[in-house]
Amino acid sequence: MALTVKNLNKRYAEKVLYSDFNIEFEEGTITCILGPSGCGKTTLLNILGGVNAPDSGELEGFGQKVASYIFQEPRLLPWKSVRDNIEFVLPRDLPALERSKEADRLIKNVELDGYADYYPSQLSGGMCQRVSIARAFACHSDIILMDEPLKGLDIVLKENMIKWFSQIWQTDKRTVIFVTHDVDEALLLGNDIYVLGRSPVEIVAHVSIAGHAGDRTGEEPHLKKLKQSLYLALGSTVNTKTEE
Amino acid sequence: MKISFTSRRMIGLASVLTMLVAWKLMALYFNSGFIVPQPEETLLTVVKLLIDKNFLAVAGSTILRGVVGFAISAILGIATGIFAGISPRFDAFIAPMLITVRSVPIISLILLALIWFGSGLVPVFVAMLTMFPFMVTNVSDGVKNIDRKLIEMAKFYGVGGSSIIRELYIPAVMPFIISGASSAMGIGWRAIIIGEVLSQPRFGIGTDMHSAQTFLNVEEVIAWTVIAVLISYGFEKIIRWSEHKIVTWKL
Repeated sequence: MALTVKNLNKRYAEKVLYSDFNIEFEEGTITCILGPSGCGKTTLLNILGGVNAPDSGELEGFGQKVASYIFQEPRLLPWKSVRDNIEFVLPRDLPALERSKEADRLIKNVELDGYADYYPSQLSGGMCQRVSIARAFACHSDIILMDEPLKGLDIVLKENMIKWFSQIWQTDKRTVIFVTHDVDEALLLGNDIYVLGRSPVEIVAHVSIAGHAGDRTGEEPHLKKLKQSLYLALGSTVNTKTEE
Repeated sequence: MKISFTSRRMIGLASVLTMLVAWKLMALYFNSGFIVPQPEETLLTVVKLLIDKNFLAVAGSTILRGVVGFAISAILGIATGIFAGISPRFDAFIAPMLITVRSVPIISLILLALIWFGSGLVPVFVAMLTMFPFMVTNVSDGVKNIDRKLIEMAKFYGVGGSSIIRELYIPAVMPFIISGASSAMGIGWRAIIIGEVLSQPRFGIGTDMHSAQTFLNVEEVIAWTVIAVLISYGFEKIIRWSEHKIVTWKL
């Protein structure tokens, strides 16, 4: 099964962001969307999540699907403990015991055992982002939308985060749509990678990578080759510089 | 530089002692109970007032006026503050009114209230009007300060409206309500006692202070002042304690 976006049109003020845009997301896989800043990647995520409405176009297969989000910032409620932050997105009709059990299971998954009762202000930035990953998986969603969640993290933390994310994802393979402008992140996580061009947006490149996300090191020869071609594709979307 | 809780306490104690010593020195210098009474004699007067059979009625009336005035201004202030925080139009509309209320001399409010109301109500009315702007400003600041990104997150995750209000809006505004209450109470007690001095209700700290002043009983004026300061301090402590209980997440 695939989730399909057909003939999407969206303008923002006078700017045409999407004009008859088409894209497909394989369910149960991780799709990465690469593109220059300001090309409308976030808008696309908002449309997919049902937060913004397209001007016209069809979203096939998205019907009753629930989405959860991982944002660039953790966006945790400062007055709630780690556990309560995760429970915040769980359905309200779930019994209290089940809610906390579910939260604790995910806390374990992101290796934050023992921190369930901590407040976000007592945690480091990376730990907070792990809570937000746990929250996204706790929410009974079909799709996880990620908007540059690794931006601004240092390289070690970034790699760890990718490791944690793929660990959880291996046990719970939801459809992931991951927006980034970092080629390395896309290569380490993506099953499919799309490169988007300037608005009105077009797909300028599409590659598929076999093999599990998270097991990759980025040093394999075929990934190195892909990296080159992705840089090339990204380079064609900007005039003066090849990357950000 | 951070200092420990205990050393903070010790310094606080030293500060109180300094004030007492300065008082004692002044009393010795003027050497007249009509100008500056001795601290220890004043302390005796405080005790005398405390065990007086009318004390509960007198202090209780003043406290009751304070609590009623505060409750009314808190309810109105929180409601108005929320609206002002949500709607920039309402905020712009209410701003000149708040500035006016805040700038009107307390004495004008009292003189007008004396014409309009009975003597027991005057201090309540005055306290309410002086506290109200503090509550509104703080609460509307609190609402304006709510992180839009958190609201967006809650909406993205499909969290219901009532949960958003209970679990996001209210906890976010709570610290602002508490700090508003603290500044409102601080100014409120002073307004109430001035109101009592001028309106002369049957029971009230201000009423007794005024009669003590009429008889040039400086000792008793100061003794009542000490009691008023202690009441204000007590309420400040209650507010801080509730802040500690409610806002546990702030480090």
